Amino acid sequence: MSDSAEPVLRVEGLKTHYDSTDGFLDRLFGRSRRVRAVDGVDFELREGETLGVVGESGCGKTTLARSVLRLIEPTAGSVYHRGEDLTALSSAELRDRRTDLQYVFQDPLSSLNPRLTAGDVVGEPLDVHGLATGSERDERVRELLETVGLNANYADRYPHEFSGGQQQRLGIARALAVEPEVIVCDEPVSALDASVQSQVLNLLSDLQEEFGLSYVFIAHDLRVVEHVSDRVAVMYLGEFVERGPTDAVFEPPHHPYTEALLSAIPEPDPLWDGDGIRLTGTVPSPIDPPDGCRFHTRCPRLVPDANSDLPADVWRSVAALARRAASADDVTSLTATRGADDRTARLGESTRRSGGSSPRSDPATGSGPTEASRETFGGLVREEFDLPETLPDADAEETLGEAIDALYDDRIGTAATLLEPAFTSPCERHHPPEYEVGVDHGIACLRYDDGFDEEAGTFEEGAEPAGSV
Amino acid sequence: MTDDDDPGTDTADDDGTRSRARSRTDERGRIRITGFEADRVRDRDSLSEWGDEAAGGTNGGTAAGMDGRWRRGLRRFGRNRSAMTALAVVVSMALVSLLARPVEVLGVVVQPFALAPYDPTTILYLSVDPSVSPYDPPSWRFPMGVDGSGRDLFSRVLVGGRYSISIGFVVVGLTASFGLAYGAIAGYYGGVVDEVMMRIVDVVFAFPGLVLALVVVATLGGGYWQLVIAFSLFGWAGYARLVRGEVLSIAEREYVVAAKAIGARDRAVIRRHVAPNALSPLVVLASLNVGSVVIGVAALGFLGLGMDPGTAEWGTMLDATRETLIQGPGGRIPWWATVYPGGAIFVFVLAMNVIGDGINDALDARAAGVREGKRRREADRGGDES
Ligand code: SF4
Repeated sequence: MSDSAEPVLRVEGLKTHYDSTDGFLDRLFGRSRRVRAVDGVDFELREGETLGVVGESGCGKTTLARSVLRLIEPTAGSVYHRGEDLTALSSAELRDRRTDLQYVFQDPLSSLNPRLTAGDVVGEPLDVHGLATGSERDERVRELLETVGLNANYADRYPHEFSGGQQQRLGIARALAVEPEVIVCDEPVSALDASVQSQVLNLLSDLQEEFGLSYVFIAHDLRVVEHVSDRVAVMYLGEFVERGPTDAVFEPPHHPYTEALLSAIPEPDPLWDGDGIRLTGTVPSPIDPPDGCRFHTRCPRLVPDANSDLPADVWRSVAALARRAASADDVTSLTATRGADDRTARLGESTRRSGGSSPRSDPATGSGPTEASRETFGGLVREEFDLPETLPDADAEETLGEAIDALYDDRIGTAATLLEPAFTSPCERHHPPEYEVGVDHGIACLRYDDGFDEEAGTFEEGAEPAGSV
Repeated sequence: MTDDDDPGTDTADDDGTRSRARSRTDERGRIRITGFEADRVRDRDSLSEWGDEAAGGTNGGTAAGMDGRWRRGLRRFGRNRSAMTALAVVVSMALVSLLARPVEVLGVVVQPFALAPYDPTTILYLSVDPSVSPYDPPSWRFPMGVDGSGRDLFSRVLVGGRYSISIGFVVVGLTASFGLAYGAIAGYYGGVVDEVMMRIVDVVFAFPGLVLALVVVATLGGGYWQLVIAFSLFGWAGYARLVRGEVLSIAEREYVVAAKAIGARDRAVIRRHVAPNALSPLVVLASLNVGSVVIGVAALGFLGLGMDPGTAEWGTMLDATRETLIQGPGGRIPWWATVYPGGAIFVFVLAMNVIGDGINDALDARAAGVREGKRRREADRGGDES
């Protein structure tokens, strides 16, 4: 890889926000909500390389892919192609640029006009840009179809007459027709069967070799990304949390999110110790992303507060309780509800005895835990958050006890205010910048800050980064 | 399948793929820079030129492709036996009514044929044969009998098609084109424009179409063009709503984004991707609507509001003999006076509806018949083993 070469594509501070105001009334009352789908993304794409972008669904991958090509207008930032800013081009200039920048869609069938034959689909870019006419055009169409591994005689068939893999080949042929430099592939194989996936991936890498293409390859499947990428960027809630060469990203040090994604890969594999870190919950809404590090609501490596003497994982559990209490509007969501569990079943019985015989008070069904006794209730809360019977730290235990009392009295707000000051992570206070951890390898996580004490697992007193929220 | 699939849910069934993927990972570097292969591009150009010389330049490949689509629809329509029968019925009814009596334009005879034996207004017992009396039953001489005014019903039914059929097509032509433009504008521009335009459509829809037509005819008086106006003035709303809905949903489709990604201009996107996909439901609705307009015209005629009384129009003919439905002179019911014009309406409308259905099936590229389904399965089985 020639690191010194001018990148084919350079994206700087790209942001795409849009209004999720639906309906006339919302507009009338100015109830607009900004969805921050892509929120400050930078990357470079070098000639002939593949940049993989991974992330869960809803993290803004597709919006990023479309914003880069201005299929969605970005709100801010620049996309430089060969030194020229695409976001500053007029629509006519942009149309000409599309001969260099192409796009492959996730769902092959819906990206193909059902009323155009394969030949017309592939021929359209030729017509639009006047690249070929007449029999030259027909010849070129046949050649393109063969390039992507389709029979040229299929040119007059309709998209629905092809299999999923063939439809995607057709989509690739359409992108290739203008002889582009860069193809943005938005999950090109995630709609396909596993056996077909690898064929399409191999086709993509063959084409890359043959035509010197550069790919931005969007996917949610780390295996796919590892297979095709030279460099990988991990995306979370509209931001890149880790970027680097594929090997570096797939080896420690990891961003906690990357680590969790990697450990979720099912196959026992010598390369990865599947320690089964599980991500709880779903990606938070991009309408109102969490303060500080956007991953802190789900981070399994959340940095504990420097003043705490609790073990890190216990601390995280209490912090999770604090966070849930701050957003919950019902105590039931803070208690264990797993009915199949033996312990819960026993607790359920005791609850029934003490809280009345109505089946509605059964905690196993998740209703009416406050009707249980104080101890049972405390047990249920502790079980839900995997807390020990008593916390090893007396101060912390006292706070927790008070908070549980408050919850028992259905005063969720009080519980939240009790817990919040004692269990706020530095991760909630600071938005981590990207830290260089290796050559061309950056991780946006406070654990890689200089002030972070690896031994103590937290920041030294006063060593917290000065970064803003 | 969408990307909310947990990457962890794939299980052992794709082990083969994965191990292949794993082993290929070692070669990750092989898709690095190989330079932009200009050689390859040059090769391709010369190849294309060669093709051009060999076959001679025929341009308009796009047009050929579009033709292909309609040709394929036509072929599918041709295989639809009931639709073809219906088409034959409509065409022959139209032809027969055209050829029923000679047509004169500005005193020049442009159509000399006369399939109908008598002029539809001729009163037989006055000018042809005094022995004929009103409501004579069908006979060899008068195959459909004689109506209440002593006119030959056969001739009247043949000529009557001119009014009913032509009004149907003229009205549908006018309303469908206007509705297409109206709906496309509303759907394409959206926002306030859409809001206002569609509220107008709602207002039109708030009244039953036939009542509006009735009001117009009652105001303007009866007559051919008055009827056309009556049915056109409000008949476009259905098309507008249909087209607007189609345009709205098509504009959201991924293949429209794909066309933009290719670099097509808005106009081309609409012409090539939006309009054709909105057009076929319009054609279907239009062909079905010809029948309802004909029924509407007949209904107004039956209410005595269509053409002048005595005109040989199917609905008006029914109206003229309305009282005979209960009891005719001498206690018998002259069924022929109502059955033949009514039957003509029935056959025509039925045929138009069958044609509409046929067009619907023919234009729906996704309606995979047995043949296509089989081919697709074969493609699934064999296609990706490349
Ligand atoms: S900054 Fe904190 S919350 Fe964010 S990833 Fe790092 S440890 Fe987790």
